[in-house]
Amino acid sequence: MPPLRLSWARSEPALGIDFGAGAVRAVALGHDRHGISLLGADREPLPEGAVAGGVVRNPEAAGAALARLLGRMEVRGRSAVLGIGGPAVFVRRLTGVPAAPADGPDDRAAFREAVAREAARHLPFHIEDLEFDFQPAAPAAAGDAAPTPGRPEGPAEAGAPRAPEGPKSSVVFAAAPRDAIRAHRGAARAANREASRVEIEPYALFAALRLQAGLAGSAAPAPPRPAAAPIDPAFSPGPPASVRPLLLVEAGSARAGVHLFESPPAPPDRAAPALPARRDPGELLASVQVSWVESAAGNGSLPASPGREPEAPSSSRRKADRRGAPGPGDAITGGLRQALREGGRQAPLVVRLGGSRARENRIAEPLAEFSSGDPLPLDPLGGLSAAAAGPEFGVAAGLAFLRLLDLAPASGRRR
Amino acid sequence: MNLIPPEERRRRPAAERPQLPSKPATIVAALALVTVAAALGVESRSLGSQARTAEEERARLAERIAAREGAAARLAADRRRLGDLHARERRLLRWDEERGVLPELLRGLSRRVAAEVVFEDFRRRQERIWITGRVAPAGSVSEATSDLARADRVLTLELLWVERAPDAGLGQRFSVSGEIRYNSAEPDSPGGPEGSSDRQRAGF
Repeated sequence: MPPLRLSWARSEPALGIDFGAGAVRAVALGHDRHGISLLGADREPLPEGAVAGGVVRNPEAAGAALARLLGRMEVRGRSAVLGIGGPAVFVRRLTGVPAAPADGPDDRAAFREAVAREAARHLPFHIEDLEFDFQPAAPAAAGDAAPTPGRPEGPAEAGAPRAPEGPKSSVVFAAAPRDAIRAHRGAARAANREASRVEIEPYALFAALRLQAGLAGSAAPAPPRPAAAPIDPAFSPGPPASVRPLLLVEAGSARAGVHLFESPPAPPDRAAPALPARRDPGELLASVQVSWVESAAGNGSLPASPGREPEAPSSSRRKADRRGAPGPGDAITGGLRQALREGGRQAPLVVRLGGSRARENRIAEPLAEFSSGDPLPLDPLGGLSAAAAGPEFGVAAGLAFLRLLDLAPASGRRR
Repeated sequence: MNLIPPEERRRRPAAERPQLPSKPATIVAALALVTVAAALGVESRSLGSQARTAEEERARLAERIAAREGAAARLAADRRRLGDLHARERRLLRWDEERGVLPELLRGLSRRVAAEVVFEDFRRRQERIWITGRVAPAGSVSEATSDLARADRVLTLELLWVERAPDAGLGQRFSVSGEIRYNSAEPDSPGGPEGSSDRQRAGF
């Protein structure tokens, strides 16, 4: 694919880099008083085994491919936002965290420690081996079925340190092995780029949808979100009936990420070509990773078994059996059902598909029964006259959009 | 969400936003830089030329000032000399008038000669005098010239000619020439003793 250079940058470009299983993809965005412009979007194949399971296994080879890609795109700038996804990333919504204290540096460190303690009760790994971060979330509604899915609280965690009694808050917790983060950053560094942020896949997709909605104007797939829910659990009115939960699916060659959000992003203000507020990552309810095994003939996946329960989420690191493995549609559907259970939501949903296989019918058709409309591909660069980019650049475009928001002045975001 | 450790995030804010200029801004800046450089070059050359012109003009003015000062010095010397000459001229004229005035000489001569001697013409050119007169009776010409020769101011006296007067009653006409003596020296200064001492030394 030839590099797409549709505009000149006004300053440092916002660069998003997505290391996929077969290729590394990069999107560079710029922003000026006329709005957001696409500086480039391209992909570079990766050597076999350079990236596996969403984790960079060979930073030198991945970095060399990234350097070739960026050299071809002629993108300047030293910083970039990297994406990470796949079964190596652990994403959970935690509700038993002591309420966030004041906003001082010591308070933030103490709250981070509290989050780490609470997460350690749910993690199948040692927290010391992970890099983690968290996102404050709205408190779970009273009727939510499974606010903290995964390993249920029970006697097994009796020996773990318990949080002190008091007001609780909810966070979305994400963690990845420290080596995986180091390998991602090492690959970027090998291409003479420094990672300013390592973002998880669901938030990158949500940012891509925000970018798509902002660029397409009428592409906002749902009515406006309600006002931000108050932190106090006494106020949990829940969204109006007209607001559907949002399902974002990143469908790769052998795996998919199924991410359930409270609602689609708010439609942007069309009055001015300004960047939206940075702190709108989306209310992530659940994130499930699924995988499948392609048929040996190389002509698609194994046939789906409609009545069969799909493969369990790969967060438990179980690999699908080749002979009994479901197809991608069934696997994604199974992940969708699990996400609905974890998030306590029901269909119909607003469904958007990203990834290299987003346009395949066998991916989209099984999701139609859960969708309030037709599942549409997530193509944020389509509004930038880059139709050739397609949904496979969804994560990279979302990462670049996040970088754009990071670069925007805090006080002068409306430039 | 950012899985980079917080302590490593805080180390990078300085390199977070290098704020590279855009390509059009770079082109505009480069053009502006070239324009400014060209303007500076032209201005520099103009200023250098003006500096050289000013230096040459200063040199010419210095030469003219030196020439003017030399001329002024010469003019002052000439004026001093002219003033001296004028003073000397006035002094000499006054001295000459005082020491060689014809009436005084004639009065001095008249007191020395007899009453029958009549001077008809008296001319003087510097120290030389020519006297034409007549005397009666005719034999008194030698006495008249002797009387003239006895005057103090007359150094030499020579009888040039004697003739009979047209009217017999007055005797004979004669003409003598001689030199008179200036006893007084040239005055040294305008304020010095000039006329009075000259006149005293002249014996009149």
